[in-house]
Amino acid sequence: MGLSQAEREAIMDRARERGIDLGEEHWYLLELSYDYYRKHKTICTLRTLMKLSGWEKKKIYKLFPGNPVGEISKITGLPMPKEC
Amino acid sequence: MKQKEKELSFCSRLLNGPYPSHVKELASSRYPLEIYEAGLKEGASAFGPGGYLSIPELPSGTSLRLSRYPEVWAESPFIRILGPAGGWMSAETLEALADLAERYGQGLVHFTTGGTLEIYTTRENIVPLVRELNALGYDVGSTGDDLRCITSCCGPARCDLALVDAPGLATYLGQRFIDDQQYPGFPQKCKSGVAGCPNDCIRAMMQKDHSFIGVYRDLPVIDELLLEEWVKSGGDWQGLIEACPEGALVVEGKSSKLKVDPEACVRCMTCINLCSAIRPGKERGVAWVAGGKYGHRGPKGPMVGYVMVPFFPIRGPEDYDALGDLFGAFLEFWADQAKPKERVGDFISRVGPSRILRELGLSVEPQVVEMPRKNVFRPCKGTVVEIKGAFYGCTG
Repeated sequence: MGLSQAEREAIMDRARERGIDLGEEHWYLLELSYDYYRKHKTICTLRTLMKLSGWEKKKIYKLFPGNPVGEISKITGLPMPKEC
Repeated sequence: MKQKEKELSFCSRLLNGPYPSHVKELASSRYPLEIYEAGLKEGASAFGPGGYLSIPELPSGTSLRLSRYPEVWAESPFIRILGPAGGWMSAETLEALADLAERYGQGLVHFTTGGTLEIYTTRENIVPLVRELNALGYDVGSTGDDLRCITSCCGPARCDLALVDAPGLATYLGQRFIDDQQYPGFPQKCKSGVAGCPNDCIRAMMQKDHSFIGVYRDLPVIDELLLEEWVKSGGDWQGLIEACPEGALVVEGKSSKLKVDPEACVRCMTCINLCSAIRPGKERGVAWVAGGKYGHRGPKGPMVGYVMVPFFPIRGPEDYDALGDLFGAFLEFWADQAKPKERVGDFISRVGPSRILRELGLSVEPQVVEMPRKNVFRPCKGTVVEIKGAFYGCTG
């Protein structure tokens, strides 16, 4: 993902503020979002995230409750998809 | 009281007028009539645009209306309960819902046109209300860009004309696709319904994005003895023949025997609705219809659904799995290929029904998709390419 330890800790703090304790699966989705951002300059939509991860919508909603893509955007500071 | 009526000059007409009156119902709850009155006085809605409520426990099933008169009522959050197929609710369930509406809301339950029930409440009451609702065996969903509550007509539980078990199929689909109703992730909302017969009392063809409609493929069955009795008891013989929109009912020779012209009959329900001696055929199934919408949004505006496949046989619940597979495959295809906020109807009209059928591995019948004719069971002469070539004056 190419993030420094300080950046990772900042992300973890922001997630904690939003009631999310980041685990291995959360970081996997964040890594996918960063990879996508490098190519497209936004994070991906929920459907693209489902395809990239191979996970079901319900699982992603459980990891980032409410609005998964919105939560990832707020936690990482990366811009939302154009479609949203 | 007089003072209050003076203040509610618009509402009081309906409050004191004859039955039925929605204002009487609103007034007997804790809904603030002042807000409705204020809107009527201004000639505008009492509520401004709605919005989504972000509640981590509930990805779908809750929403919000923002008031235009915050001094009376700032906002109206509500939950949307997925109603059972067929629209039945026992008195016991209604009492339990009424109790919840009294304790957590304004003592008001809204039966929506989409087959759901809404209880208006407050932000802080939403989660405890939904927990109590879950304990009753009900759940919320059907808001936002997801699969909306799958509605159906009453089917064979109450109707003599039902060709398939519409509530049974709708319940199957509702249970199988519950995640899609509770976790938004589609480009737009997708309404869905199952109608038991071509009368389509739930308006699935016009109102629903993705629906199944009960149909029969063979001809209507005429019981001659019953028909004689029907005529003797004053049945309008001539009116029955004239009522057929395709002129498919013909008198056989000089006898009084009725016959159905198989080429002309479009398998509608007109004669069956009029005469109890004519019953639907025995070969029954569903037509898959997609793309209906009443809304004016989108490039195509209001649309009647496309008949994508005119007949899937249904012998019983053992055939539901295949329909469910098709239902899910189409949802995935639409969700992958549609533009943001593109309803199913606009998507089909942009992409073309032929391509969708090919992508889903279904056969493309020219009489259904390319040159739609009323009698979809009468095949066209020639292939799709030949027919298109003849129609557009070109080959290939």
